[in-house]
Amino acid sequence: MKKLVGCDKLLESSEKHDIIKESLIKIVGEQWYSDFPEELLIYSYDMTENDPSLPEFVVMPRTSEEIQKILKFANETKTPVVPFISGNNVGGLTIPLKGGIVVDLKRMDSILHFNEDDMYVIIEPGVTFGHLHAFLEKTNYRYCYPFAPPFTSVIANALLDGLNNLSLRHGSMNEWINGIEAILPNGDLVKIGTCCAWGDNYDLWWSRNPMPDLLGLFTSWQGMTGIVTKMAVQVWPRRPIRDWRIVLSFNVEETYKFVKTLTHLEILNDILFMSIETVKMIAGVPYGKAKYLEGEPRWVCLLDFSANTKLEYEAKLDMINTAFKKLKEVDPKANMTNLDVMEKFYGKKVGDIKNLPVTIGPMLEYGGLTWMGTYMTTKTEAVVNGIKTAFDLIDKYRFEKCLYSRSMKGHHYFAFRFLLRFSKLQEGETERMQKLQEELFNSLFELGAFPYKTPARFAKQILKRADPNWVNLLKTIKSTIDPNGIMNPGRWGLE
Amino acid sequence: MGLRMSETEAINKYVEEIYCCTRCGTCKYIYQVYDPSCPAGVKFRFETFYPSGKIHIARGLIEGKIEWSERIRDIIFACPTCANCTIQCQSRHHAQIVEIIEALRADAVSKGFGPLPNQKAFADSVKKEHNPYKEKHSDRIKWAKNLAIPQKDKAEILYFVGCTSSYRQQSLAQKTVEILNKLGVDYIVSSDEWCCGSPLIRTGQLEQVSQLINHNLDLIKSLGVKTVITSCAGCYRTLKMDYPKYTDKLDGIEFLHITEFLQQFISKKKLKFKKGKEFKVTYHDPCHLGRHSNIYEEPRAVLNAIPGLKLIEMPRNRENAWCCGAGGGVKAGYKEWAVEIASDRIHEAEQINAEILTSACPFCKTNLQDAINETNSNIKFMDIVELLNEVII
Repeated sequence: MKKLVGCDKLLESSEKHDIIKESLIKIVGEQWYSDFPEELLIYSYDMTENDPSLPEFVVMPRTSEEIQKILKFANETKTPVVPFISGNNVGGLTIPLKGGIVVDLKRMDSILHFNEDDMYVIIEPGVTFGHLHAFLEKTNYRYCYPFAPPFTSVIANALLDGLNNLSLRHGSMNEWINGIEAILPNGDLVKIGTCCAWGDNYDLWWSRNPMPDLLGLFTSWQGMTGIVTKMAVQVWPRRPIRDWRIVLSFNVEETYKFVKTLTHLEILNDILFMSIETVKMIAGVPYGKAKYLEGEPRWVCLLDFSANTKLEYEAKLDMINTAFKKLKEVDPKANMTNLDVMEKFYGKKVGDIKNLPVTIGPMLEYGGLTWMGTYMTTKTEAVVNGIKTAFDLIDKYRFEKCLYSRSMKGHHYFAFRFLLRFSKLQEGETERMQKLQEELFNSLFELGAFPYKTPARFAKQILKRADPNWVNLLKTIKSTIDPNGIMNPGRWGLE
Repeated sequence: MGLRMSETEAINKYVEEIYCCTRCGTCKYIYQVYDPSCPAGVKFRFETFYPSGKIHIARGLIEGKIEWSERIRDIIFACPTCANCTIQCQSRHHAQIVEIIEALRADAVSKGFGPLPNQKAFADSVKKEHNPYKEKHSDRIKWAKNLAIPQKDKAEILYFVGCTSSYRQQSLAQKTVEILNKLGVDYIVSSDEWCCGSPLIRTGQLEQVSQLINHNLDLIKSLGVKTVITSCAGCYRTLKMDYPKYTDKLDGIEFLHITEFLQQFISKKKLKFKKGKEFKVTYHDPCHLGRHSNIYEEPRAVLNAIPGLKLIEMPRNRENAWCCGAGGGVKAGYKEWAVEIASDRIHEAEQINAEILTSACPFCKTNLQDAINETNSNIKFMDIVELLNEVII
């Protein structure tokens, strides 16, 4: 086998391709390698409006050792590498902007260990929310689930600051990581958290404190610093009683204050703040038809709570009722009901929202789905202005005003998000969505909203507006860990 | 976006459905159970092999981003068309997923890239002998040599035997007529039955299909038949679901699977059973009978009527049943993989300590028995008609 060192410009590109191909096959085996056009095409785009870009190779390793070899080789040959897992991607984050090798991790799908005493599970990247849910159903513990199809990777979502139905209590998912095993761009294997001392003992991955927290070298870096091959994620006891209440209201400011009041009581697992269009979309109203009608409730809050005893349940319900009475004083037509009633009114699909992880078919069946997902300040003025600003823009571009937001970590910050269906079949619609996203990003950023799972084009703009010292630090870290810039190049505006 | 559509391409009919798929992955596993649902995905793992991947291949072809190739042929024919994806997918195109795959296959054939070599032999043989097994048409009812099948020109009920039971799994044909005889049914069997068309439709070889359908319908009408019964899940699916797409001349002809037909006798308590000892049986839902035709309870009603038979279910049953691996041309095109798929099913039946694995399809019988042999399993396979015939008087 020829050896390819550096980016050898003397070699014809086809010869370089053959050398890389030969090397990758040697590492993973022919069965788990592909450079067929149809395979490359499928890895070149996702469901969002982000522009496609083709990889040149796809490999499906099974072990950390294979990934070490792949990255070592890619680093020597300066070949870009993009980690990929379930195919259920957003934000264009796995679109290979600079080509190279897609490392599809779905074969690494084992739940390696469950430590009941310290309440964590060690998983591989291919483990999905659905599989973790099925595993934990046999125990007295639960994980958290996003408003996404069940076959989304837990590790990917945790690394990308995903939010879900325990985020009010615990924040975004990266806060629940005890530790990781990761492969650096030079092929080195590192362990972060207590596992740095006792990595071979899965029973000792119990925290990432008290030591310098190096997890930040991997979270929200969008695969630019290495490939995470194992992760210990925290789980929580499942309480025997769980219930939901729905509040339908008319006044945005008062509804948001009601949300804030409830979060300060510290009695809920989760609180969603949605527009009526979101409920209609979930209920199955076809694309383009999920609209607010004059006279109907404008806002919908979903309150998720649980209890260990009937007494605790009743006390929580009493506190919810009291808060609602106060809302009613200022928003007299507001109504509180339960999901059964909502199901009768809007149809069975609405009930899916309590059975996460679920696939909300009506959200996913028009070829295109995207969102402007941000984390922002909880200040009432910012949130209310944000909604108004976003609604005006969505109207301008003729999409649906599906607000899906939630309070995070006891209302320390707010997840402010708009779910946007669009049709990839309709001429010009993808481009129209790109323009809307651009305007949404600019307007919301000005209001203090910071996008998460940030598409490359917005990340570039953030870098221009961010403190130069922060940007320099970011670049220094990146160039130190990945001097040849092989890991998911082009993300975060960094080459 | 530059859609490259031509009126002759079968996938053009499904453009809207193709663009429904966001590749959310829900088709890959049993919904909210999380066991694998797609045999091709489990085996090959690359995105293209999953149902959503095949849909996106169709999209790539429509958009002109990829060209037909042998590799694409291998991917789209690597699917037993078990339709498990149509159950698990939660989007509005779910019911059309198998149709899209079959349309891709039809396009592959029309463009000279398909079918797989062993599948092409079906068409050659059907053209020559009206069966895909290269057997003589004149031998079609050789299986009935020592059986008392009614010799008459006309009857209201036709037992449509199907090629697999006529030539390969003859026991199913023999036991079916023995049951019909015991029940005193006035039926007829025809020596001029032709292949129902299933192996050709499933593999995109549509050239002869209309001719086969016309012949079989002419035959059915010439015999004065009002009800066609079949013991083959593949024939049943084709007669009941595909024939209406090709012709409007079915004129109220009723198509019944043998288990539907027998259930009528069971509900009227017209079956007389021998006394028997207890034994544990599990039922494998044939894809063509279950997910394709929504027949789940009738076979179970037949089994539950048998004294001493304890019906136990495998974890994946009814609409979530794991495919046997024989369908969609996979048994011919991917011989070893077909048996691998069936071996998973045998393992599942063993796990629940079933003594007998039963089903209602000669194709399932072939492949599951092959897997029993391959894995040296102690489990015994009997088709439902073989099982029933042993215990009724």
